[in-house]
Amino acid sequence: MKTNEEFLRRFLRHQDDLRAFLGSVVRDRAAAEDLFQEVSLVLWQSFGNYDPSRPFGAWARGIAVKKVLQTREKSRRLPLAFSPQAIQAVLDAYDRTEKIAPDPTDLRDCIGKLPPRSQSLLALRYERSLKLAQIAREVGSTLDAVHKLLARIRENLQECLQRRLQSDPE
Amino acid sequence: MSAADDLIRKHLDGLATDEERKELDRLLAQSPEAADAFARASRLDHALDRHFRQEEAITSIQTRIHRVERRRLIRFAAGAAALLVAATVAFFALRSAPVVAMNGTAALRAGDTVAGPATLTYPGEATTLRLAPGAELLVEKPDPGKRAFLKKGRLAVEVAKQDHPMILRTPDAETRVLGTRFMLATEGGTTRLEVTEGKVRLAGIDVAPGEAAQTRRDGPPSKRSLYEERFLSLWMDLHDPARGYFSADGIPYHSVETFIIDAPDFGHLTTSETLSYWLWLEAMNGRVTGNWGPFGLAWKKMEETLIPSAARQPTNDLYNPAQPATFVPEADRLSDYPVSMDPTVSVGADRLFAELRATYGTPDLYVMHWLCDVDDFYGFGKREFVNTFQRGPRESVWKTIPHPSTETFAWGGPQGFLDLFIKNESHVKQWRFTGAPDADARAIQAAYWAATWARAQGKDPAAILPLQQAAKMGDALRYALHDKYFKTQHHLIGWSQGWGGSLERTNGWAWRGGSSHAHFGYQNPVAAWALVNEPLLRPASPGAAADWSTSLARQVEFYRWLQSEDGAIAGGATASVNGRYEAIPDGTPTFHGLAYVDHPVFLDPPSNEWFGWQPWSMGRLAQYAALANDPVAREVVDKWAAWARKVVKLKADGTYSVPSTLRWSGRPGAGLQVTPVDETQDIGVTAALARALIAHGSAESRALARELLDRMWLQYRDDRGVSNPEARADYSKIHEKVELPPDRRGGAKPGATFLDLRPNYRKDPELARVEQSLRSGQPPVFRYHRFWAQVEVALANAEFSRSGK
Repeated sequence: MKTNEEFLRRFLRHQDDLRAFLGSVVRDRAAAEDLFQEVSLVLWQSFGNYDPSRPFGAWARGIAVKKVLQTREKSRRLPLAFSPQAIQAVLDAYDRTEKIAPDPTDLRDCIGKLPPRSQSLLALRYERSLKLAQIAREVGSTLDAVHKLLARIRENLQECLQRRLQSDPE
Repeated sequence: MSAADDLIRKHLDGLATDEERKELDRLLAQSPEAADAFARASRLDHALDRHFRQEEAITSIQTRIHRVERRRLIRFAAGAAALLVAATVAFFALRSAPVVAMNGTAALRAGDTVAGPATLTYPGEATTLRLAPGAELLVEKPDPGKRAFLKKGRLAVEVAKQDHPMILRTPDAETRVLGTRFMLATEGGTTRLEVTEGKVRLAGIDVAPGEAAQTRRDGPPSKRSLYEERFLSLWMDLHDPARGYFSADGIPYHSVETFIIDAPDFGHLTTSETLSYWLWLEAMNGRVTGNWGPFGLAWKKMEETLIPSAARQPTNDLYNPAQPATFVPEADRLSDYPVSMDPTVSVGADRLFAELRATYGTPDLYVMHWLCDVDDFYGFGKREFVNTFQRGPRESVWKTIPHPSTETFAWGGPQGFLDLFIKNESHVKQWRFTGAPDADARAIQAAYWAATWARAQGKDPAAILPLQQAAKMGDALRYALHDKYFKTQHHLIGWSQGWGGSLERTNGWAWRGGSSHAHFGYQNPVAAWALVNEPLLRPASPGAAADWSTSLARQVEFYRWLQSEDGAIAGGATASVNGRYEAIPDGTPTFHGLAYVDHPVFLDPPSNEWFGWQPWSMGRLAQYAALANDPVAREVVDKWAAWARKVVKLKADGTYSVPSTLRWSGRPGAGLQVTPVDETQDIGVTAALARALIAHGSAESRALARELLDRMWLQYRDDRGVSNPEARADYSKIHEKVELPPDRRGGAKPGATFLDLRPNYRKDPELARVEQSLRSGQPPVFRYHRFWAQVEVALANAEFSRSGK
């Protein structure tokens, strides 16, 4: 039972990052979610082979990539965004940048510091999952302007998160 | 921004073209810097998604693992089962925090997320949080008062007195409470708070009882009247295509749900009742928002849907008003059908026809047929006029035979369905329509209020509202003031009015009829008053004013005659005893020559058992009493309201009940009494009662109305409207045989059941659930959203805010 608990502890900590990874390389949200669930099960089944001295996130992503490529081989319908080479490159990048993954509490604080208009734009994009064209219609702006505005907001957030990470004693 | 950054953003925002994605692919494979930037950006993108969707890791893992387990159960049976065990055990090992609240009998700890519908309680005190279906609430650690986070959806709250403020957060606001009743809802990035009792602070603003507040991105929350806010929120729900109240072509259904057997026996039929309620809704919307466009649109849709076009009533000019129809007796038993026509019974003359024809230049009638098959459920065509009830007082909805109103013999037997009802070897193809006059009267009443409210806003009602059409309807509705065969004009609003004719012109004919039976529940003194006193609604025919002013006086007198010693109003009266013009039995009280009937028109179930008639009809009398300042009407309403207030129960746990069934004894003038025999929380009836009490207007009546409105809202507001659980034991009757003549050829065959006559019910996904419940001996439970009931709730709330000012 110790193993189960161990697994859950680690999985809990990394599941979000795993979903972020899968979501970035699979173009369809539902397909990414399905894959995430399949990968979760494989992780559970393979946990006996996991070497605790290695980072769990990297191990999990490695298995995820295998699963992604296998699935793609079986069914051409899986809407992959990139070639296997690019996916491998993204995987390596995720491993390299794992330490600077955004912390939810930091993110909340950083969002709270944004001007109300930026917050409401983010809400339209992420909470209501509107397409950019819909957002543009809703706020009475152009697609290009919304795209640029969102890019700037995300940049601000990255900077804010970066500052918090650096001031963190850990 | 570098080229790579721009491509990354485009990809994540779903804007990248195939070309751009290929370019990004190349960059990612070649440049570790680009790949790192991609990892950072996609992580942030996902984190934002998570933040705004407010999913919690702990519930996420639980649901994911359970979902994985469910999906993979077959392929990985062993592994999955182990996973479930492991997940459960480990899950509990991870959480040893103290119990914060209870969800039924399940303990909740800080960090638990509860999905609605659910009722949360806090041990040792009378605090409840009622989560609507679809809502999600995160239970948080006490600090030092209770805390919870409403991620989405609607929450009704009753908080007992607290030592420390209870804090309820939403994604964009926070409320603090010490003991109160209110509703909190969060959707689309804003939060709405509706306070019933006590004071609640939302995002720094105090919200008082009777007020509603909504957060805004760009300033402090906006406040308005709670009751008006409820009206608007229901109006939005009713018009939101996602909630399912309207068909794709814009016709309101009887109910959102399809599996429903009321008087209409399928939810996606529509009725003149439904359309008349829609008009009422838009009249009130005009008052609240100043927008009168929707009223005109609703009237137009009503015309298109339920008033037969000239082509659908093609042979009216062949009608002989001196001989309006051949007498057909009503039979006491279903097995007596088909019945034979009896030309030996004399009939009266129709004196209306010539007048209406002269006024409007057409022999066609401008009133609604009562029933329309919006989506072709019965199979006679989309939006066809249909009918069901045809076979006398013992024909319950379970025994009815759906049939098209235009009988071309394309369905049913060789004579279509005609031979099921009337014996005749030589039936010909024909059309016939039946109006339910209370609905037309309700439409006129709505038009009257629309005119009044528009005028009060300084607008010209004649220019913006279809008032001429309403007046024309009032003219044609005068048929309902006559006996079925014109032997008398009773001036009460009868149960129905019918008209029909042959489809062929050769040897063609047409007929008309009023109704011999008058039910108090159909009377509408407001419509009668408006047709006489509102200049814009005065019908153009010369005899209309006299007819409706006599009708008005007669209706008020009728209510007084039928008022029981307790205050409730008894059934009605008939000009044709048993539908066969039999002699009035000795000792039967009479009203202007009509015989008293405790349950007019139908007996299965007895027609005046339904408590709903009381508020429906008395709400109108109360409105009229105030409009006309009529002391007789006022006295009747006062006595009735005192009774109504007595039979409502407000319970200690925040719930309520109103009577469901009434039993009657005695007769007018001879110990007429009523006994409520059971109770209900029915939404439509309760809201109608609240409306009637508001119209009555005394402080006591208003206070009770408010309690009912608040309790109903807090208990039963859901994501479509307002709905209470309804156990339908009567649905076992779907398998009962509909009585049909044994020699029936073609179409409906002897032995057919209710369900056999409606084969499309077999495709309804709810049927399996109903059958399952019936097999297990439990009545199936539904949460219905009937259009009329939703409108009653909306109107009652708006009227409460209106009359309170």
